Amino acid sequence: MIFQRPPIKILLLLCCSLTFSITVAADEDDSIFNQSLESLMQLETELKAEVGSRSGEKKLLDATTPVDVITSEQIERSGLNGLTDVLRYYIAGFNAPEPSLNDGSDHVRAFSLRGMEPDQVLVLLNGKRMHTSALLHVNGSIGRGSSGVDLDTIALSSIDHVEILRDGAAAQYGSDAIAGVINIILKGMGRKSYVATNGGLRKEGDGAVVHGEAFLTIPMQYDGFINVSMSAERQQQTQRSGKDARLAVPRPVTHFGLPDSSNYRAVINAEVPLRNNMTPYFSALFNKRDSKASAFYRTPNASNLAVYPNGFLPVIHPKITDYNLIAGAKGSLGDDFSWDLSQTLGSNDYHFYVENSMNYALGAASPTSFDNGGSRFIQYTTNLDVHRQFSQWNIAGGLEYRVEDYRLSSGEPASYTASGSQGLAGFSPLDATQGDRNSQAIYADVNFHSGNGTTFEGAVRSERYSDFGSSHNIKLAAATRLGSDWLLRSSASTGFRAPSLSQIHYSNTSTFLDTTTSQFVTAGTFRPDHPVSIALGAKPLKAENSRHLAIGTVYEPNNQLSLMVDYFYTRVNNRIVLSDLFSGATPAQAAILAAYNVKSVSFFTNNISSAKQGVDIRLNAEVIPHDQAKLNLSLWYHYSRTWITGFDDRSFGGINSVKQLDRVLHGQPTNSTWKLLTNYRYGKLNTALNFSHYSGFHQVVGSTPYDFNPMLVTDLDVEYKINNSLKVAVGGNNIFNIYPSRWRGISNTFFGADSIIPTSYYSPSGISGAYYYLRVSVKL
Amino acid sequence: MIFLKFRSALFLLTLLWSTMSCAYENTDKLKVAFMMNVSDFVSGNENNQKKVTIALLNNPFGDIPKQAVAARKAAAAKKRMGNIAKNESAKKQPITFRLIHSLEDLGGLQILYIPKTNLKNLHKILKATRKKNILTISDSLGFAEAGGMVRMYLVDRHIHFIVNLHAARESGLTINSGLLRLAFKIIEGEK
Repeated sequence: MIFQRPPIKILLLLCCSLTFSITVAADEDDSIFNQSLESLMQLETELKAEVGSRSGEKKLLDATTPVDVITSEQIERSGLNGLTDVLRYYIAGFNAPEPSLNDGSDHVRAFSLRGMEPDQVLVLLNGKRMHTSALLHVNGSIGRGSSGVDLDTIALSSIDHVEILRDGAAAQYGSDAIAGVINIILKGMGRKSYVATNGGLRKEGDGAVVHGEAFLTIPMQYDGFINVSMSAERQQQTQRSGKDARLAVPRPVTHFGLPDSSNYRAVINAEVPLRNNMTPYFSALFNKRDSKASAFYRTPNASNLAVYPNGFLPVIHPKITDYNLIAGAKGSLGDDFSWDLSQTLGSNDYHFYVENSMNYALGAASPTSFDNGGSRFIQYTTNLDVHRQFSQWNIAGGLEYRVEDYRLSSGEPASYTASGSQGLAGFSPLDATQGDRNSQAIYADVNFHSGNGTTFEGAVRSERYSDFGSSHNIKLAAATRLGSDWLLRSSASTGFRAPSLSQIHYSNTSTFLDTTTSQFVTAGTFRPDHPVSIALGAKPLKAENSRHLAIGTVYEPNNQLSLMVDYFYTRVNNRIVLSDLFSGATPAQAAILAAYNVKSVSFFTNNISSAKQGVDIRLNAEVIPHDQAKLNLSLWYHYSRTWITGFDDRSFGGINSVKQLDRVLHGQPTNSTWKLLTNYRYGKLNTALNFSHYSGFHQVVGSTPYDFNPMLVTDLDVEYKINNSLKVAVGGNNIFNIYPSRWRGISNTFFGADSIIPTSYYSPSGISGAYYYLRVSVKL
Repeated sequence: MIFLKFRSALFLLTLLWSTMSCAYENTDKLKVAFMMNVSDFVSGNENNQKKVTIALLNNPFGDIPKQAVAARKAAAAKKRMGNIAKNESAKKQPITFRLIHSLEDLGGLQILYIPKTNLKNLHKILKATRKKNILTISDSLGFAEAGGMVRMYLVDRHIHFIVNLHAARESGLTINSGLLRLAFKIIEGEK
């Protein structure tokens, strides 16, 4: 049931309103041709985006597939400091909860677009593929079993705009473009330098944030520029834990909330046009993050009494270093023929440290701080793109060569010996690994625009990976105008996602003394090519394959009003998931585990196929009541629903079912979202008031999904321009301090309304309540 | 309850639309309007000054130039009747657009727009225009570097421009300070 009762009512109202609007819409006169130059420079042009087509920028409302744009002004007005939060703030269907007590996932947030996994979203920087994080989400957060791009590595002051394509696009961009593509465009020529700072607090008085940023542009003599952006941010933790009933006097001792973190970001973006129609360009991103969050509190017991007589709270303290370099040149060789040659190098290093902990097996001699090892992912990508326009035809093509390298390094022996450091065991030498691969791709993209408002697009891409083989994909799309107001659009495509190197090579095992057998045994996540995994039925990972269909319409009676309605259907076969834990539930499995001296095993496997359908309805209106004032309104509804189309448990004795299916069906926080975004400018005052309504959501504990209530969250930003260079703003996110409802139907030490985790960390608007801030910016 | 609020908001929206003026502009219209304005700030061209002729070396703008000429004529009629809008300039000259395909057609022009599709021959085109006191405008990357005079570009959905004053002076053109004041960057040095 896609359209529930309330949305139908709203749709009918929209239609009535739109019909009425035709009669009152301002006529599109040509007064622009008589306006003064100063007036022209104040006018805004339509939003355009490059993503989704290789034939240049397109007006969003003319695109064959749904595209959204977030501008730099919107980013500034959000009061937020990370791109993950900005996208969650503006995009209905983009979810990014704030996980806590999820080990590494507390520090690199998983996100989903249209309810799909983080690794099923391709992220581009200036149109070039970005690398994913080295972190593999293996705990209970959304995106379990995937490595997504860490969107918070980018200084927001460097971003010109963000384009979000909501359609499969693997036939154009390759692996991962299943749920959509996020294209981050860095600021170019003509921007003003500025410095800005913001800071704020949670309503409870914790979670203080201090953030400073600078954007400096160095104009070159002609069309060239060098832009430098820097930001530094300090965020204190929030504490929303419930009482720990294990204590004699129950009180909150485990940290449940946002981590304590420092983030330093720098971005350089430069272009230097030369006289021979060639423009060399360069961009560099750098991010250093130092973040701390806890594991569950350890109560005093015989194993830790010697070191921590009152118990202890282990602190997981990863250090993350990320950089992305792009160097290239673009130009033209002749009339209508352009080219672009680039080299991209991306690296993410995620290193775990654990503090205030101990290794029980080492007793009083145990260290309290550990180097637990870490993972690193490096990606080199070489691209050659060419484009030629022949009258109404745009033909583009290209080649891509990519090398990927994944390394997992072991920690110090005390971190993995026996059961390892409390809170998080280190990677052992058995886990340490290095894997690499390369891929070659060739692609072509054809676009035909007839004179009567009809556009046809076709794309093909063939890609060969050195490890799992080849994938060939195609996309067809068309858009046609029905009169001057309506546009009908549709697309159909195939896609794929290559298994990530982390899914192929990740291993995290620990060896400990089994008290029942008095033997040392191993347990944990094993590689799919490990003998015990193979004996249990694991097979080499292959690519996920997808099919996409989208049908939509755009109604734009005038340039103040537009309505977009887009239906989508996506089917993904052979989804890669992390299996449940095999601990010998059947005699056959027990025999296999005993033969390898293993206590329990999980591994990655292609064993679920799913389908998803949904709809996005978006109404945009811009109103200029008079010269000094302007009102922008955007009303957006997103709905999606997932179901299982195939599940292969034959190799696993039929027991590996419940958790995997639940995670696919209920593993995303919401399935419907309303957003009403408003922006009112009057003279020097600029106000944004936004409402987000999230449907009820689920979180699975064990094998049971638990329900949480819908939420309505309100954000407000009020900015005053004191003079041409100084702006001051106050605002708040979730200003009415709305929290997710508490657990119902479960009450144990860890999960429950009065337990350590009192509510769900799948909450679409976080678990830390209202945040109020002050922002000051000065143009230089 | 929330849906009642949405319903109210929608009806409010409908009412507001009745008071709307233009919210965003077509980029091509804005570029054409910009070129028409620039002519008011340039002197030194010895061609016919009673009417400004803008030539398009290929036309990426479709019917927009025709609309622009008609709008300018209508404005001239209004001007004669003394009915000028607040944000309209009173000293607009009559404009004509001409589509040209060859550098032999440069006679009688004040302004030449060079689209991205002509980048290959840019140096040859600029050399030809320099001798004829023609102001060159483009929205192509590297245009000012190559010796073009006015480069348009968009930042944050607003039009901005660079003036290569050195190139204009070499062509014997004088650019009024009113235009220079609004330019993002003025290139004055020796190339």
